[in-house]
Amino acid sequence: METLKLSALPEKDKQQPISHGRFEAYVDNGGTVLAVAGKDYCVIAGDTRMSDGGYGIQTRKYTKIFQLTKKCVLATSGMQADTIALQKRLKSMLESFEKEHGKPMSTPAIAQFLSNTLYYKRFFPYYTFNLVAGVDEQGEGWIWTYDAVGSHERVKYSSQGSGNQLVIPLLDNQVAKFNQQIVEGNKDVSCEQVVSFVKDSITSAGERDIYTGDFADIVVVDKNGVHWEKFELKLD
Amino acid sequence: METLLAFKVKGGVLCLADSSVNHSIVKMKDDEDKILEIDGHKLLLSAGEAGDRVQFTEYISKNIKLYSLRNSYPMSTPAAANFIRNELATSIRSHPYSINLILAGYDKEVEDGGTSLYYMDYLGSLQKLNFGCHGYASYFLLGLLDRHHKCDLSLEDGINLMHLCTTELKTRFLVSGKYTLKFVSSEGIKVLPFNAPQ
Amino acid sequence: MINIDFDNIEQSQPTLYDTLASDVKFLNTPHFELPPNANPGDFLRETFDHPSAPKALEFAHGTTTLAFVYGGGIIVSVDSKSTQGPYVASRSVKKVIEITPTLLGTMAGGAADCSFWERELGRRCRLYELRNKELISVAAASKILANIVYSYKGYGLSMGTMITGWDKTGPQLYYVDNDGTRLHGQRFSCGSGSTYAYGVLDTGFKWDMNDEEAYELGRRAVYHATHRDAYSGGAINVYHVQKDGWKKISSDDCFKLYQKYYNIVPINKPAN
Repeated sequence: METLKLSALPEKDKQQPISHGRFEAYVDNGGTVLAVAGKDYCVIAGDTRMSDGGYGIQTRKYTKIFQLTKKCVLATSGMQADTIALQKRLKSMLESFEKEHGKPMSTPAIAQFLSNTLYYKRFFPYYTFNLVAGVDEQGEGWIWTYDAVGSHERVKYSSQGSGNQLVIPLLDNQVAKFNQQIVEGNKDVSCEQVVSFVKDSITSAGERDIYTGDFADIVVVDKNGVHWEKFELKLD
Repeated sequence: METLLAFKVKGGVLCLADSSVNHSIVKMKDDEDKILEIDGHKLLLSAGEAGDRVQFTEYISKNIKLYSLRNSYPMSTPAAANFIRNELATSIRSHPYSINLILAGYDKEVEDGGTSLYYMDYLGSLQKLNFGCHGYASYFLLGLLDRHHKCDLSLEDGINLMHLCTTELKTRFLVSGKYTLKFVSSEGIKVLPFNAPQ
Repeated sequence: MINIDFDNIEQSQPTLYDTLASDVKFLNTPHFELPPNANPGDFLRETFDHPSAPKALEFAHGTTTLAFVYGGGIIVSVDSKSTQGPYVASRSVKKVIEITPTLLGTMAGGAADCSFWERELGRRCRLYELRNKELISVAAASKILANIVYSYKGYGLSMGTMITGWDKTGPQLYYVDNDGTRLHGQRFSCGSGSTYAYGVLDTGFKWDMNDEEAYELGRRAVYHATHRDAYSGGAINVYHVQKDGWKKISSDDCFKLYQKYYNIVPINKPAN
């Protein structure tokens, strides 16, 4: 007769189904973009650092600004993979629009179109924080600023990304003249002045935000088209 | 915190429902009609999840209307009760409607003087009763109705019993508000003025 | 003569071009993408409720809005602050959405949800007008919106909105929210500051106010909400709906209203 054997209770873990790990849909690759619009131009800046979501730096030469038309650029921070997916989708749609209509899409139309494109991912959003900057049909410079799912507003200056909270108070004070005691008369600053100010702003973000640094793309959009310039930030 | 209450009286069914719509701590509305008149002789009382309540009861009443147009006679109250139960029971596995219902109606062919009252919950249970109550109010009212309700009450006594019920709710129940009162009988549907104790 | 055998046409294998063309067609058709592994309503919470997850996506949110019907029409009054968590994303949001020249909607909850779906509502109302040669009723317009949001119930939409306008039946006001509720009424307020606004609105309401009193009541109610609710603020925009359509009445900065109501001379006088 077989004796009744006593054995240890089965380990709980062995009864569990095999775990496949979590599906990690997002990573934040960081970075700061900002833009200031003037009377007939826009200046856009974006750093080129790409972080791995933590302290690691994956590349120092990833440009966050994407040219959509001759009058309009898209500046995106957040997750690089989603940024690329978004840029490819917009590029494809804008090309087919141009072939169908025989002219490129206007900047305000692109702004609304980006909003819809982001909203169509409402239930599985792109992890991207966007600015559309450009000149409209009348040649006036404008910025459109977005949340991840397409809520947008037309403004004269804005910033997005990891250094956003550092840059915005500076822009509020210097561009919109919030809380300034003495506001000098002439509000129409020249493009050169704005470029210099934008460089200062992105440098400041780089000083205090670990996800911002290396280089900055400085882009000017005006009636002559889109002009690119590289600018050095701190590498540490 | 919603209240639905209905009971039979002589020749008809008296139906009472609270008329407030609340969102968290805010009272959005205090004159909502939760007693839908499905056709000339049917009342559907509903309470439950915001959105579901109106969507489901409208879907039901339009389908019952469609039935009467196709067949040129109205759906009987028992048939309607089973139809509604079936809709609740089939949708619970895919798109559950979280609503509790009471159906009251009058049909010439039905026994017991033609009136009938059906109690249904969101899971799809269905029971033919002489009185029915949904919500926390049932904890206060079922005992009261066991004690006082008779099917052969006159309409006037019935209305007095409704007042007894709402007075008890006013006395013991945490929430109180306005109510809608309707009566269905062989003569059709009547909306009765009802002032709950303030 | 050529004979074509219609029953026996050769099926060709899809070429790379066909596949690409169908992909492009799919991409070019507006559609909602759903998360691959989760219930849409739970996806974002599950994704970010994790120690190693990146910073949670904060959507722009709207806050104190109200609308009421009185003898002279309908007043719609809203604040203009937009917040992403504790961060003030904007102080200049247009929370009154001009759906059509006769219909107004308000924005509370998710800013993207409100503006996208009320824009879609505007498109459908315009189509109704073209098909029927008649303006849509407020009841029907609000029901279109309620049916849309009801069909996305459980997907995590967030919106609380008032749809107002003047149609054949007179001034109409409906409240529609993301769980599919659609209510007809005389006074509604929505958003985190709504309870404060109700307090002022309900006590100050009189049916036979004149227009100026009504504007001031709407403005006051939202002003007191912005004062108690940190998620509300910016400027207060007031709209008036009358028989011939809506009209924007005013836009006042909350801080300037504070100075006006309490007759306060600021210590650090702002320059603009």
